[in-house]
Amino acid sequence: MMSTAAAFYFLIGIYCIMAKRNLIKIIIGLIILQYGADLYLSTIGFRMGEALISLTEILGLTTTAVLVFLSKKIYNKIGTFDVSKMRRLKG
Amino acid sequence: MSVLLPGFIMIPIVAAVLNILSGRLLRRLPEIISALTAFYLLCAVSTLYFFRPFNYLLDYKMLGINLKLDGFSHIILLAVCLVVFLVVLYASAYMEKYPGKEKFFALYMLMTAGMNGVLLSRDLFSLFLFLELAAISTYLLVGFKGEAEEIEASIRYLIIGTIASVLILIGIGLFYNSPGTAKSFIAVLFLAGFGMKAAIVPFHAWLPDAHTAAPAPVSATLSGILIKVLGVYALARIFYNFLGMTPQYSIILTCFGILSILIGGLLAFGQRDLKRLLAYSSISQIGYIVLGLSLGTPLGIMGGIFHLINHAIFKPLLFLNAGSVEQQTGTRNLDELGGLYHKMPITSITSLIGSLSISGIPPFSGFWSKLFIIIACVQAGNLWAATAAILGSILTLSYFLKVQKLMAFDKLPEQLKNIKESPAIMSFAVIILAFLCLIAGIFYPYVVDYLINPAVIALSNGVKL
Repeated sequence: MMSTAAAFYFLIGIYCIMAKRNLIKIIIGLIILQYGADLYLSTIGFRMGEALISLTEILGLTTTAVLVFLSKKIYNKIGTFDVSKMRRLKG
Repeated sequence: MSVLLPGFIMIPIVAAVLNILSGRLLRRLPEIISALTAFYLLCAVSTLYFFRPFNYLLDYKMLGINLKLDGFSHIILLAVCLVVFLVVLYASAYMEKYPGKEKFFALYMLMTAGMNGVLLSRDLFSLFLFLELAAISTYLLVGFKGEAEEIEASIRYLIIGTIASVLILIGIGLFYNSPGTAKSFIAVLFLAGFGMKAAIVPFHAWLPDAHTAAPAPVSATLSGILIKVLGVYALARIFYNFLGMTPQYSIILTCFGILSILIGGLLAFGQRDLKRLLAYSSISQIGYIVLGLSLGTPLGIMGGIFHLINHAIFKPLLFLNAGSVEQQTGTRNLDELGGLYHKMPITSITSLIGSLSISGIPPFSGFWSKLFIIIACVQAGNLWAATAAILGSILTLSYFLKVQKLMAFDKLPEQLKNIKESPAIMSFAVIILAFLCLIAGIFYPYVVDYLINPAVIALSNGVKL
């Protein structure tokens, strides 16, 4: 049951990252993705899982903080959060 | 001698803190601290080579984390410390024009600590911790120049890196939770996660942008050691020592290796931007390493590790030279360059050595490692892989000849009449790297005997083919 919910969270997160154009929504997608992973780890239920959850919470928070910082910086440069408006880097 | 082990992680972290604190006191202090730290790390890892025990497993407990050093992690630790030292020397001159130099060196030291931690930790839990430490500092380093394009590359790298970390995390959870039941699923998760970190072909989207956007010392580190430590090393360690190599995994990894060699090489061929070309070439060379390691035979593992070490020498060399060229001429578009042989002789000659080595021309180190990989493919009966490796080698030669012709030997354009050679300390770093290319090529039996073979033994103990 819990792992199904975790997989659901995971898929929503992936969908957000793939389909959304707004950088803020992509960040929310990443957070949902990380929550999915944490929810799955909570179903493991032994000490390794607990330690992993507290570790990933901290690391996820750091990553999100870095991403928000970078998004703020790029907003100051180009004035939009729209990913499609950003200069396309060549393939 | 195992007392030295925690220093590889703790001393760079302390240096990072000191960098931030000291940057305001004295402008030159951060780079002096970083260079001393890197020099200490290089000395320590070389010392360990003289005092290595017979069973070759050093063990030390730090804050509940078991640190272990065996042949495989030792050789890569040596490459990491060497490249970090030379890149810090180079960066002390290169980062002159950027503001916030102390932040750069602090992040760089944190990244070093993360990479050393990945190499020394032996359980998946602390491996993941150090992997994230290295990855998060790299996300910030890639966008260090602060222009819109660089930040965009950094954001893209961060998003792909975070997805990779989540996949690895779920893999670790499954690995400890379900004994043996879903092993192939765990392997797929690890392959996708570490494959994204290593930029093997279907997962390579972030690498060209990140390598092109980052400042030259960071691209050199990223391409030279970071993708290998976070990607290939972790992948090899997990597939050989945790999951156990089976024929199925071997075939899948071989396919990824061949794909990387050919697609990376073909994409590199069409590039006009020097750093972007080198980035695609990295994907191609990572393919060789994965191909060698995937075969599972001792010769294949040896070729893979040898190529890994060689690539950790010549790719930083080429990236640092690209940085010198960009700094002196203001462009990295190959069409606007030319004739640098007369104006920047050291940069041109060292990059010629690097190019010859990476394309596998006999006296240089790249030839032997590619030869070992191709022979191992033939021995394993995998002629398709051998053909792909030879084709990839020809591709590499052709696009590096193109680079040399357009950059060093063509006619000097009018607007580049007044360029000068790069500063002495930057030249020093690339000369050392070029020298190592030559030394490792000429004395390859000694390199293989003393450095590579312990690594092969450490890895092939876990082979179950």
